[in-house]
Amino acid sequence: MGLSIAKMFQSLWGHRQLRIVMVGLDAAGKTTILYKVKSNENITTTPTIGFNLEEVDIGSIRFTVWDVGGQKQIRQLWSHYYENSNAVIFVVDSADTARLSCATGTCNDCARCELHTLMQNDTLANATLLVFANKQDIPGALPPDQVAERLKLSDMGATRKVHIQPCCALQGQGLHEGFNWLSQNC
Amino acid sequence: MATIRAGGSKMMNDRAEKALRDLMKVEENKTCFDCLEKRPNYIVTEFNTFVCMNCSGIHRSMNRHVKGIGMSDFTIDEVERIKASGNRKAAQVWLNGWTPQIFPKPEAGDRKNIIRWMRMKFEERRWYRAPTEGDDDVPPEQPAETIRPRAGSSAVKPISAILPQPPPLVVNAPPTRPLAAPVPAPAPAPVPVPAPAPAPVPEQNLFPTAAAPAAPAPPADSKGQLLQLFGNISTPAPQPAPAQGPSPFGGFQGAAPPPYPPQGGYPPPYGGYPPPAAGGYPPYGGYPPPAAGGYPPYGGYPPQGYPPPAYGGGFGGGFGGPSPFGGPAPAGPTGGDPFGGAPFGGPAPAAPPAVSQGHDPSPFAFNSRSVGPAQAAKPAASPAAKNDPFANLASDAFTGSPARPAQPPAGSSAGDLFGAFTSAPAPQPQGPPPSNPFGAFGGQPAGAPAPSNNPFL
Repeated sequence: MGLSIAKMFQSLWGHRQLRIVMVGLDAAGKTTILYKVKSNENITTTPTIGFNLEEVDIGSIRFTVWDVGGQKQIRQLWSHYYENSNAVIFVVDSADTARLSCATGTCNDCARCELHTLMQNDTLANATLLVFANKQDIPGALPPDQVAERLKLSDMGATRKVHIQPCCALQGQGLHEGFNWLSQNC
Repeated sequence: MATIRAGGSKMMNDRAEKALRDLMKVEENKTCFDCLEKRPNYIVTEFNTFVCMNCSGIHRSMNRHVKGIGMSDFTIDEVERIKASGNRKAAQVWLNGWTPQIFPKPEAGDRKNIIRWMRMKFEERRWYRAPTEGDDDVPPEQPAETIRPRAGSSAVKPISAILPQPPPLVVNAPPTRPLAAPVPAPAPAPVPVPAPAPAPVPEQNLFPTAAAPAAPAPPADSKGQLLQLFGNISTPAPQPAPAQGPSPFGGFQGAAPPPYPPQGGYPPPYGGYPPPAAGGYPPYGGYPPPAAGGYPPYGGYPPQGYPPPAYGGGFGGGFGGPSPFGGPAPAGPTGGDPFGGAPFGGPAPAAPPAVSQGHDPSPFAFNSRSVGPAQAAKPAASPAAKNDPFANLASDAFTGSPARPAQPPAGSSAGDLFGAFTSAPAPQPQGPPPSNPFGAFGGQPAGAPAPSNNPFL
């Protein structure tokens, strides 16, 4: 009750803050997305070692976005960023079909395995999940419905709010839509 | 919990990484394939080349997959490919006939020229020569292009134009003599695992690019000579070739290996959250790549140590398993529309179909592309899809297109074609702008929706 009043006030006068952790396999486009929404510029990134942190104001919401490096060996650090996160943004390269999912479901090196592993983390029990199906501009990129199926988004649990948003980080398409969805569902 | 990894694969990775770190010590792999940066520690899997971090970023932007040594897992297959290729072999393929006079290798950080150079090398293929007899292993991932012996005639021209120019050649005058020796020498039969050859002779200038300038000496049959040279360079090359000292790259080749661990500064265990420094930018947020471990000191570069015997044996036995990547992943794009009947479709049906109309005028670029409703479902095939990669999105995904009556739910899902996905039970129905969560961005009071089931309320 108190919270909802506070929320109402915030919506009137202040920035609502959301803490977002953005993860995904390497080269999915996380950093590119971050700086595209932050400053609308295309930067040529290098593989992120560590993380990038930016605050992004979209609408009346202030998103604090942690963009964490996605290379295999540093994925185990993701869990350090989960705490207090309102939402997880999971970025996938829709054109990297080989790493979208694996046959066994236990490879620990495909997007599906990583996604399901991370969403099982207790710290994220209440977190909303937004999946960016990035790189839609690349010929051969899977459409979002197929990405969703490959990722088995339907297995995310009955109570979890899940959304998949196709996007192209370089052109900026779909990004604000995704964040907008977050602002309404966190 | 996400941190637990299979122990077995951990061991495997350690060995693969060890092998790669050994490969990094091979002379030609000590310099980035695409610029003059030293100590490259990323692999472009398509070419099996060692590149620096900046160039790896550029490769990524060109949609090539890169893997960081110590950052990614490598399969035994990959390691073997890298072992069989590396920067030297890659140069034979991609820089056949290239000389620094044509286009000097860009400085580290010279992004503009690096990109230019990459395009010349890999897209225009100016100096491309399909790997053939002389080279032992062809990286399997090479697109099996038909042999384009320097197809771009423009590529040939600069070479021939340059060849007659004597002045720069002076630098390489000495090499001509030692190089003469290898020419007659029969190229040894291709060895499946060629790697050992180059390493033992640290002084030898294995960098083919360096050898290239020497070729002009006999300008007449330069091509044949070049090929010969390349072929031979790949051999163990008995003579130490000290005369090759003054190569254009002599400077860095001879340079003492820098003390390795510039990155050693990773502070150990990451405790707690890093301060949300406003900048936050420095990518080195100050925590350790865990498994990366300290880079082994570079100091004792053992010329002979290259193919550690233990590795070869160990790998053979220990691995052998199928690559974790190799999975038949691509199998699955099921033709049917997973949206329609899929689990997602369930919650959605309530919303009015009118949504799709409301969706169209959205400023969202995807939608504004009015793609013919009859757009085929096959995105890649249709020409329209080629021009407009989002076409299929618009027709298929976003605006539950009329062309696909079979899936009413898609269009209905509260205006958001993915609304169907939004598995949260409550929020959708009450969605204030039932039409389109994307829609007018900011047009609705952000805080307003207040979904009753919001766990954060």
